[in-house]
Amino acid sequence: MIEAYKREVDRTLIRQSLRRSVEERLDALIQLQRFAEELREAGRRAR
Amino acid sequence: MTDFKALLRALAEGGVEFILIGGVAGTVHGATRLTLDVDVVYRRSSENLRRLVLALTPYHPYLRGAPPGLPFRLDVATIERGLNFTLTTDIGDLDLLGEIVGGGRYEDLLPHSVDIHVFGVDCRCLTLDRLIEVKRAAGRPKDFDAIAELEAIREERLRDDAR
Repeated sequence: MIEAYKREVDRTLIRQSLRRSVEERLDALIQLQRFAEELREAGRRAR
Repeated sequence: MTDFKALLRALAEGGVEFILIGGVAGTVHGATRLTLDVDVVYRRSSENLRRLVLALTPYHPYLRGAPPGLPFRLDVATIERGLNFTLTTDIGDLDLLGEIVGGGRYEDLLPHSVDIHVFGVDCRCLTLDRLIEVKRAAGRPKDFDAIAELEAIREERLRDDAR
């Protein structure tokens, strides 16, 4: 089952992440979270 | 929004014994998926419960999803009576877990954790192998994507090590 999901994993993103330090990975997560929040806010405004 | 830095600092600087698990632990190991909360397994010693309460009280912890006005106070007695708490705080969402399926308690997970230094503090994070095992043990369909990514990370690391 997991093998099927694994085929969909974008390994270029993983390789990019593995080149970063742990702190850089967490900073990227924080940026992603901000981006998602901005998108949600834009969606709310559009309703 | 969860302030990952502030939450980790509050716990680590408060001397709380905890192990990062879940999505943030996945990020530590290289996962790229979005996660919105911090999941930790905490040691259930009296001293650690006291530290946990002192570290979190300034941020007004409250039960996530509970109706407003429901009486709740995160104190040592409350944590002793319970085990796992899904909390919201002024600095974000935090899952405080006394025990996890397939992983057990803090003491069981400690040998399967690594020290990390991040945002100026030291904390412990579940190893990639153990993280995969506990997510597999939980068997939740919503984790299938995450498990697949973590296993792909392990393969990439092995490939790098072999070079």
